[in-house]
Amino acid sequence: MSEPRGTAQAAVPAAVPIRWSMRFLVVWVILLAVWEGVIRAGLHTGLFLPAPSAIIASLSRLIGDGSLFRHLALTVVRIITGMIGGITAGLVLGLAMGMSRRLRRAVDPVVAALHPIPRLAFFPLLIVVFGVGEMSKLAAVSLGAFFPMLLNTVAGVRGMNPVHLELGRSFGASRRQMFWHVLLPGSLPLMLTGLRLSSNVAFHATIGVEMVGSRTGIGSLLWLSWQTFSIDQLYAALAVIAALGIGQASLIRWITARGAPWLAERPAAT
Amino acid sequence: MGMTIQRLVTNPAGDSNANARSLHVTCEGIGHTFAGDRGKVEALRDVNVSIEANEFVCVVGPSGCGKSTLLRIIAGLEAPTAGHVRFHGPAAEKGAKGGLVVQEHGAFPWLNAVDNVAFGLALEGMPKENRRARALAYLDRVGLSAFARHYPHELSVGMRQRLGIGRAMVVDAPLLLMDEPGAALDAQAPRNMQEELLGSWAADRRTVLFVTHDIDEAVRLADRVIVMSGRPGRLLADIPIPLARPRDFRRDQFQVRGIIEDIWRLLEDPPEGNG
Repeated sequence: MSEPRGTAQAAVPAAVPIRWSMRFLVVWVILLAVWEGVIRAGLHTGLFLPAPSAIIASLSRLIGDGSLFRHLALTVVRIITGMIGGITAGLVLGLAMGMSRRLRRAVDPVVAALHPIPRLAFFPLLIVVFGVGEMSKLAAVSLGAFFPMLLNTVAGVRGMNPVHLELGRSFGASRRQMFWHVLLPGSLPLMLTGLRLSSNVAFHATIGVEMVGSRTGIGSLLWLSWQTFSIDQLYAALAVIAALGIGQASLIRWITARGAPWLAERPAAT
Repeated sequence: MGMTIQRLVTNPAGDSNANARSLHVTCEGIGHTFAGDRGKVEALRDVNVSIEANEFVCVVGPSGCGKSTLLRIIAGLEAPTAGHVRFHGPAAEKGAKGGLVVQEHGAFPWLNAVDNVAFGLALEGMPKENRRARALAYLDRVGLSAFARHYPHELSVGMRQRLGIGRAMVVDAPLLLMDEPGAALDAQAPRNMQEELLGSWAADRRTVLFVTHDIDEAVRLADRVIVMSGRPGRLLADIPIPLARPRDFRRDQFQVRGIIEDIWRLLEDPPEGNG
């Protein structure tokens, strides 16, 4: 195939997501059908594997009495609120650290020590500080979202191509113009990576804190299902979490494509 | 592409700004010493160069001779540790502003072709519609109007170079400072790029300082070739190129060969007492 020079990454087939979702659907329909068949044929009567029809029945019960929507809404609000807090803080501090060597040198050791601690491990401390209410949960989610955004923003600013900075300076750009016209767009690709990773962590942290310390949200529904031994409902909750994760990942991909149209779409690693 | 060049060469756009844009550059006793981790490195020593208005000057020399440093000093990106750069003529105020054209990564990857060309206008605060219209006109001059919405990664190396030239022209930069390492190109590309470059320049003459390590390229393009020695970079020779314009690479080939031989001899056996 002969391509014109310099257009190597231009072509991204637009049909990929549609084909992918077709395949997704086909595989799952087959899987569920076989699963259902195995159980109906009496080949497996174990407690841990309810029939898909039972799971769907449980799911429709949850939808019917409105409890699924209530839990889901709270979970989504927690993810989004936590993300806004953590990402804003990470972005602002990341930009400042990227531009100021002095600040970077002062804050780096703190980040290096706190970053490896699993996000949920902060939760007990956050409960002590903020109480058992909503605030401690949001703080935990924010904290989770904060670090990936911070680290990627710093890396984005530090990794700016010096040629682009010099071009800006050669046009006599002021400090303010350098920031808005060169530094910000130049570090945007890594900031978007930060956004993607932050949203993942926020999602995980939200489900985590809901399981540990909440009576509301999908995470708590999951936990409650095991405690009441409603295995059908446990599977239903897992399915909802999976759907939520897929929806969130697609949304972030869409935002990334909108935010940086010059980047060819890269395979999403999660 | 050939068509475009032809048009640019034979039909130079009339430009009433040509005089107002006229700029004459003098480098007086430029010296530059880098203070690195492993002590000091003298990159340039007592370089005196004069570039006349609307002249196309190439600087050649072995790698590490400080030719790119000289260009960066003239561009105002680096302050020389000795001597100074002076701008004379009607456009002295503007000096080197907006004239940097870098081959590698020389286009902003986050802007499409029009917005890359319009970069300087955006800094001047020109409204979006106006600056796009103006940038489009200059995109046309460098033969890229069909690629207005393309991002740099979708363009060839030569096209990106012309994008840089368009970006400098649209803000009426009186001096083009072109840093062309050339090493990243395949064998076929430079000849096309030279033709494209000369086409763009002929359409809209202005003072050009072009840094390259390719002597062949320098002789084909320039009115004058400045030869520099290895570290510390000093001036070895200042050679006028008496070839008629527009240049015809086939017609000029024997004369070009002779001049290249002279420059090689100079580089292999530099005269003493020139520093």
